[in-house]
Amino acid sequence: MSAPATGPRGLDPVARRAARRSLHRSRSAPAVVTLVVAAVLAVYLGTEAVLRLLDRPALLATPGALADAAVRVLQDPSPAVTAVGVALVVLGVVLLGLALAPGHRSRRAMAHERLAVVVDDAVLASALTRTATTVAGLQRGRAQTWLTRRLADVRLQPTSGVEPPLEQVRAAVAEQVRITAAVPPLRAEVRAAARGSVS
Amino acid sequence: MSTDLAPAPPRGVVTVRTRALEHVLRALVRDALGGRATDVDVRLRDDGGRLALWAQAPLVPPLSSTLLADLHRDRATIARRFAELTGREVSGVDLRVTGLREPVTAPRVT
Repeated sequence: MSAPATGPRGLDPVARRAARRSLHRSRSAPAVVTLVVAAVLAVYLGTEAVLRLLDRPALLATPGALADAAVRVLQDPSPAVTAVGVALVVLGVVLLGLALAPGHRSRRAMAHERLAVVVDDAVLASALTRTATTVAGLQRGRAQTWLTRRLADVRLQPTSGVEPPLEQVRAAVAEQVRITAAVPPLRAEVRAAARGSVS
Repeated sequence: MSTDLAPAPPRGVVTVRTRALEHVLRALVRDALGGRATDVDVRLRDDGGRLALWAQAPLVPPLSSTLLADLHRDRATIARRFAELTGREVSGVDLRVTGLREPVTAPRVT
């Protein structure tokens, strides 16, 4: 079956589908748990119904008694019932969120002709930090990179009294971002902190 | 398409520790005010991306003009020499004279 490829645009359809698996969180765990709970409840209710039809004694309560109990509880809600209700609402919202949210992982796809290449954001960020510090002639710890969906934000802490070569760093970082060819495209921003570090 | 991650500039960085800069400043102050390097107290701090110098030391006569004129000239000399020697941009020099000393006869190292 050929489902429409819903992975990152800019890739070929097969790679797109492959990349999608790595880029989005799997929903199978919450789906399995939810379905197992639903199945157990259904089996229990079915069993009670069959036992009632056969005039056998109920396991816990007959379906009629269960329905009566539900109605009674809802007519006179105690704090405990309210609490259970609130918990169910929260659970429902959480499940809806899991179902509808994109479930992005902190990774991104790289455009490639045939392969689905996926790079971890931490790896990309540290590569950019490395490029920035190398070009600026600073120690590794003197730059930090934050990655959001479409922006790579590189911050340098310059050495006091030494003008950081911002234009060169910008060019190098931009070049690396271009080579990485992340999908969706990244924009790089390089800034120097107002305060330097003496040594 | 190439997937090399970094362009290849020569690796390695040069780091000048604060201690080294302090030694330079101490020597410059000692040369300007006279006396011993051990009497000179120095501090360095960042000043909006530039380097601010601070030093205190006793002054050893003779003076070439008035005390204040001498010290301002010394500040200028220290700032200029420090920038030349370390390559750092200096935002300012604070000098504090803590007293007057007899001239010492020990030979200078620098």
